[in-house]
Amino acid sequence: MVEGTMHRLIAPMLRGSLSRAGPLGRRPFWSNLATAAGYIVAYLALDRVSFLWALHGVDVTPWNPPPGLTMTLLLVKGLGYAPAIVLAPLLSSQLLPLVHVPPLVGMASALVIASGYAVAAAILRYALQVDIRLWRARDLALLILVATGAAGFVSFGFVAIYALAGLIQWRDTVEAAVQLWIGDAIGAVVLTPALLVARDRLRHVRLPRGIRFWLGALETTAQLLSIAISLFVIFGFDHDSYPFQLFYLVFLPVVWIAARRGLGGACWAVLLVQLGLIAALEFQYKSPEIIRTFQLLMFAVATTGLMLGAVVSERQRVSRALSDSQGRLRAILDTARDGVLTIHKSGKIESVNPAIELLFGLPARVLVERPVSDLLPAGHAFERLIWTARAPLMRGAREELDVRRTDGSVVPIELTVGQFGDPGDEHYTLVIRDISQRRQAEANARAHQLELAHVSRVSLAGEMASALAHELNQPLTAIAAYGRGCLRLLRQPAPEPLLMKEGVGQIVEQAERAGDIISRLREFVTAGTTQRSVVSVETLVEGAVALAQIEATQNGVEIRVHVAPNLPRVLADRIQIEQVLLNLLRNGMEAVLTNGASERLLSVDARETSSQAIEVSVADTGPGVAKELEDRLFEPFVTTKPLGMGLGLSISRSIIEAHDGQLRLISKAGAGAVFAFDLPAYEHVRSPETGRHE
Amino acid sequence: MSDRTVFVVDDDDAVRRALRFLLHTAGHTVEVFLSASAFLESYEPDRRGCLVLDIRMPHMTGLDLQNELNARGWRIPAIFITGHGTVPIAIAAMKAGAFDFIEKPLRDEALLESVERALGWDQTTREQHLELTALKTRAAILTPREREVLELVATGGPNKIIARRLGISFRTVELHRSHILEKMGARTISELIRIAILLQQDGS
Repeated sequence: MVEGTMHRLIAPMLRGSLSRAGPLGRRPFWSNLATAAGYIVAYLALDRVSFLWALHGVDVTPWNPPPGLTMTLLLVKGLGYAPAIVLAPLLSSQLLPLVHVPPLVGMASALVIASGYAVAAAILRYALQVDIRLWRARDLALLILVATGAAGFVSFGFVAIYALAGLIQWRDTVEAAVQLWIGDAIGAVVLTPALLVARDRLRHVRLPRGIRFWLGALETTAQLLSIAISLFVIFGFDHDSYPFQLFYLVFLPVVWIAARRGLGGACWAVLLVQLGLIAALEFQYKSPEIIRTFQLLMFAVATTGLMLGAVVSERQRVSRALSDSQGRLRAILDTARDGVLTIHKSGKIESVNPAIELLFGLPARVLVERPVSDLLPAGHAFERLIWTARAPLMRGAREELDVRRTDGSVVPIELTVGQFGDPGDEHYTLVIRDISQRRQAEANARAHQLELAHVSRVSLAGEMASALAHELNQPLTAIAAYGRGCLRLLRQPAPEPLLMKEGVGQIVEQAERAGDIISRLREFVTAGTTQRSVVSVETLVEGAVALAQIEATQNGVEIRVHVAPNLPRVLADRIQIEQVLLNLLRNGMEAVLTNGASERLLSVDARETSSQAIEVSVADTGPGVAKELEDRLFEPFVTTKPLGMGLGLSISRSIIEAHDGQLRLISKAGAGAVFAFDLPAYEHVRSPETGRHE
Repeated sequence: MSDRTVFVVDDDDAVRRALRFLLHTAGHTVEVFLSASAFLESYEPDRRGCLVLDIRMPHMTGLDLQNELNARGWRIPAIFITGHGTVPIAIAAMKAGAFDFIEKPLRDEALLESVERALGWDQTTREQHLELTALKTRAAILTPREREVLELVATGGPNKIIARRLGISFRTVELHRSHILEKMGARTISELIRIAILLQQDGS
């Protein structure tokens, strides 16, 4: 939900900041017009100033800056200014008549100039993807190359037109063209980079407060003056015809003020005009018909001015709100610790935040425009990301990946993908979180749990030491007895071979029995890294019961095992699960023995529950778990045993939870305890083994 | 030899069979039982032999069995096999009247020697028991005066002293003594003295 909002907020900002100053983009028309006018004036001035002499009838200068100005305008503002760049040389050829040029020839040459530089600008911006801030050496080199080429094209075209028109001799064309080429090229190369760099600097400069105040005061004065002048022009002279003919002049100051100051300024302007009108009428026109006509015209001025003012005010508010929200977003993205990047549907990175730069160790200017697949692990298709963003069910879904940084190190990340933009012009947001710390913490916790489980197993084995020693003594006793018996037989003159065979056979068998006990115990207490394998539930139950059986037999406790047939296997750490089972069995055994119950029985049951999980339960015939202990049973250091550490159940629970299962007490007090845990079935294919019944 | 049996009681299959094997190779007649209760069910108290049993067994322990034997007045000697951590129980069993205990892992000499001793002890006590019973039967037909004389004979005093003590004549003492010798089936005076001591020890 939060991410969806983020995407909606980011979208307009991105389009604003990432759009490439499209043709006459988003700026108001009058602003574009002013820029175009300024350009033309500057062009004419530069053209005039730099003129030295006419060579073969062509304006020739060693340094011709106007092409530099043209290139700059096209690169910064885009091709929308094409009319202005045609108009400027045309006016130059007509207004600065150093060499007389017929209008048709002027027009043709102006078109050649404009088209040459327009094509050059288009190539630089769109085909070569030149960054007009000139941050890279590549950008500047391309600019020089293309501008020089364009100057050559323009010079030869220009001279050819003059020659066709008969303004210069054909034999002079090459020399004239070369001269012109050099002048234009040097003009473009010297002026364009200077203007582009200056623009990049100026964009971030604000005028000092004092100067801004005085500029504002100057503008206000000019606006008041313009109202006064327009009224004076309308009423100040004694006109032959009706004065209404000049009334439209009053629209100019009103529109100016409304456009600059919005509704507030428009109200005052309209009020001032009305007052001025009334005052003027007092002195000059008394006829009611004339007054009515003036007031109707006034109505039109007021309506137009106020409406324009209202629209301008609204625009200002919207633009301020937009810039506020952009600033807020920028601040959020800059301070966010998660990396946020946006990509176009083509897979190119559009924007990145500082966290991304930090994560990948690359600056934004290198990342932007690169395909996002460069950042993702090999084989992780961008299409898959998009699919994740599009599928409604997957929205907001996280994915964990390992990405490679430039220094070769691998960082685990969590990735969330979102989508914004209109159909056909989709953009995507990627939120990337560095999860190496979380991974480290998880690994630490795992190692810790492993150690704890091991310690617990060793202490469990220690508690069983007496029973185990007895169990080991049995085969050793048998071996000694058989051995002595055999020796005794050998001392007889004719030892009975059958008896000898029985004795030696039993020695071997009992030695193997002792070995089994020792190896089972050793396996149980090994530290062991966690090793999960696919095992049958039967194996797990058998392993634990075999160890518990030793004490059970010595204490006259019966263990009944029932494993349902055809159980699916589970993915588990065999030793750890055996540890859990052994813990439960020993607890049960102690409960049964303290009770002095007539029936000393432990039942182990394994069956499949409906939800693709295997449930293993251990039930005893003891007194059950006391009500007040029930809630704290799985907490560490809670025990009812005089010598117990109270870790068995707590470790057992963490082991089962690490296996995505649950360990719980499912019996009522007083009815014997039943502990059960479940393990997710690893495979849905049945294991071929059949169940065990004892 | 064949009228003496070693009874082995052990719940562990392997140990039980191993003990049977060992005792068999040592030339003993062996009978084995799975549990103490199985032994109690089939044993008849007049059977000669000894008992070898594991002290740690489910249901009825070795100690329980010893107590049960005491309660029934069966005097078969019991040798306990003790393992790790069961020595205190073994001492309790000894106090309850067990014959011996042997620690695991077994040294066969120790076991076989103990079995031999137990069988010998069983033999002796059974013989003593039989003799005493016979003597008691015979002593029952002695007259009170003859009993008095027998008691004094047992102290080893000469006839003269006995006559003076009882205030009877030397001849009368001699007469009593010959009657006593005849009634008790003794051939010599020294044999009579031993009989007198035996009866005295038995508390009669």
